[in-house]
Amino acid sequence: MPELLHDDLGATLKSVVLGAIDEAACRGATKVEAEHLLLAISASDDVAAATLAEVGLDHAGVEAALRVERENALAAAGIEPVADERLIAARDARPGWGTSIREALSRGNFRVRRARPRAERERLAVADALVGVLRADLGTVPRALAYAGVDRGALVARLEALR
Amino acid sequence: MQSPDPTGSEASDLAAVVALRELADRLEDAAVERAMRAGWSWTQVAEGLGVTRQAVHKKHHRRLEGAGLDLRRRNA
Repeated sequence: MPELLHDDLGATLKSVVLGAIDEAACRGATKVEAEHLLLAISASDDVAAATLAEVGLDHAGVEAALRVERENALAAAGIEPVADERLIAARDARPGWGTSIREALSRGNFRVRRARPRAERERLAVADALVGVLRADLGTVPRALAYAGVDRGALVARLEALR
Repeated sequence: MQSPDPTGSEASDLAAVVALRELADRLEDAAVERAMRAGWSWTQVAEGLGVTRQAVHKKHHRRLEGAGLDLRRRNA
């Protein structure tokens, strides 16, 4: 678990990644995935959250988009959503790392800014991580954003243009 | 090959697998907890799930103990 939480992340991104663990745990997920990082980013007060909110993806907007994605995914197998009250369970506070969050953090925009001053890298670390989340072409996050009518490419371009 | 449509039919079939696994995990957590709160033993829960007692204990013991369930005398 701790290896994704190394100090190179900087304090702000580290706290957002910790937030992703909470987002996964409170949803009863066994793994922390890219969608939990997206939820945690949207709940932060970072410039990345403001950029997401501009396209309707505040925390509630991300939750709604993910819910629509899950409903559509289950419908593809002919399954109706199960009522939340049937899924109430004590949570495991220590979900493991999923593949999609590892991929997101390795695809982030960090390398582009390697030569930039430390202050800029830290200030934009969450935005750079969000770029990594948004660069996935397949899976839960791109599906949720497609159903929400969000242009991922345009969002990535806006984040990359941040200085 | 250009990246496929993430909401196309092949992608949706794969996403259904992801969603079903997640749903099965959450249903299992809730169902095991309900049975244990009703006084079932680990062996009974394991039999109900068609897995070994060791497997169900390893997967759920920490979570249920953390939730304050009295799991003593459930060794049968």
